[in-house]
Amino acid sequence: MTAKLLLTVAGPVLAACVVLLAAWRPWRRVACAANCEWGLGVALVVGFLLGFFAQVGWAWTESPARWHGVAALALAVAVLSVMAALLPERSWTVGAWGVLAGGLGALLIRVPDVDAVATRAGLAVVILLLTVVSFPMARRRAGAMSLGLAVVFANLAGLLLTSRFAKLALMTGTLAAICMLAALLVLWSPRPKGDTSGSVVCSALIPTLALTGYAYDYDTFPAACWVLVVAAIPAVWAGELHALKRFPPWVSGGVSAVAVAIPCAVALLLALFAAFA
Amino acid sequence: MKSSRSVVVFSFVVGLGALSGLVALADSGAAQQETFMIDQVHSSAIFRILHMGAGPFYGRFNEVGGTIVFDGNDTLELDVTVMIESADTGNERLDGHLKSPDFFNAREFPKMAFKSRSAKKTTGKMYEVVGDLMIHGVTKTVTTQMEWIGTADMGRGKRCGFEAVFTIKRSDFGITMGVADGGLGDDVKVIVGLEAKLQG
Repeated sequence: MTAKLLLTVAGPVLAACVVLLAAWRPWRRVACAANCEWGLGVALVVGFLLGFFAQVGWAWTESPARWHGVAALALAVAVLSVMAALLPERSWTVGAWGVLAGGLGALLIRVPDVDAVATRAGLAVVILLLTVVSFPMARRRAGAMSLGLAVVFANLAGLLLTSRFAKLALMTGTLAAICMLAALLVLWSPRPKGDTSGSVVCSALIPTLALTGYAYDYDTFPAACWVLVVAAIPAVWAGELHALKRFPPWVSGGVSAVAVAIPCAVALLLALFAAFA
Repeated sequence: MKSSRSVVVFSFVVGLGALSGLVALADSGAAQQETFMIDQVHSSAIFRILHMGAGPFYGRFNEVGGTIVFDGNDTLELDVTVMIESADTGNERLDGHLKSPDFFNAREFPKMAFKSRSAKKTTGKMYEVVGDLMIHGVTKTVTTQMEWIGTADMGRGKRCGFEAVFTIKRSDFGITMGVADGGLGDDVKVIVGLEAKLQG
């Protein structure tokens, strides 16, 4: 069991840490230019894919299991997230990244019963909305955003585990650990001030993972649990309340995390109650 | 005297004809292929897997269906399906995990199937059956020894029974959860007991 956790979680988190350190170079105590904002997106996808391959094996393209398509989506949004971080920002670019990420999600998701155009379109719209909401926040406060995402991924992993999808739960737990690591790095160093790439990757992966979990098990607990966790992401803006302006950044970061954690905790408790009561 | 001898010869010829007719009839009956429907209630598939490197863990699938074509001799054709939803380990949570994408992925692959390609009678009631086994969306050719348990009609239709015992590697079928860390064995011993009723 220890060996398995090392292989599927600790190894990928370590690799993601190397990517983050290479991108952010947090030991330099001056804020980096915008071109270091590709770190979190790439780190998340590197960690996710390493965890995926440790679970599924390298011959994943030969596997007939449809949920393995999530690896292709992760790879595609990683490329998109780097473009979003490095290309110059205009007023319309956030929407464009959201549309592209949503399109990729709708195109590449391959779980049972999502072949209906309405389901794919719905996923695309959710990804677009999450990108639009989280991208500016990730630019302003990388720490608060990373902490909020860590809370969302941790609860999503809990839901997946409750629905007896341990493989995907471990991969999602890896994403939570990487986001937590990013939040700690930001807390330790002012570099970077923001990281937009992570928001693009998370905006695509979080609803996709939730939809995947639901598609394979819609009996154990209500669908509202999945919806609550996805809908918790905008609550990260709670840390931007005017009343918090005079407090140090870690306070607003904490408020963001608590605001995200409340709907997530409600979702997880509901799911656990439905599954075990 | 002559007439009584004629009667004896006639009777002998008629008797011989009737006997040979009966023998022919019996012979054709033995070689006749019959199609049997697998009785779900009295058939099952049981599996055994090594748990935590020590315990022999047993479970079963309760819904086994399909057809058997059999002539009581050389011809044996099997088309067997096992419903994943019928997985039964005696623990509801564990059954749910077996059906999840971690193992059988019942939403995508709701059934296992075995379709024989050839069967050869080896000794007595033993058959060597070669066929395609499909599990988890992956099809592999397997060879198994199958024992013909018997054929009987006890007033509620003619029935035949077979039993097969074989071992598969689940990783060959893409079911790898627990293999790498040894929490669950890779080899799965399968025992399939089939009872089938004559169709029609």
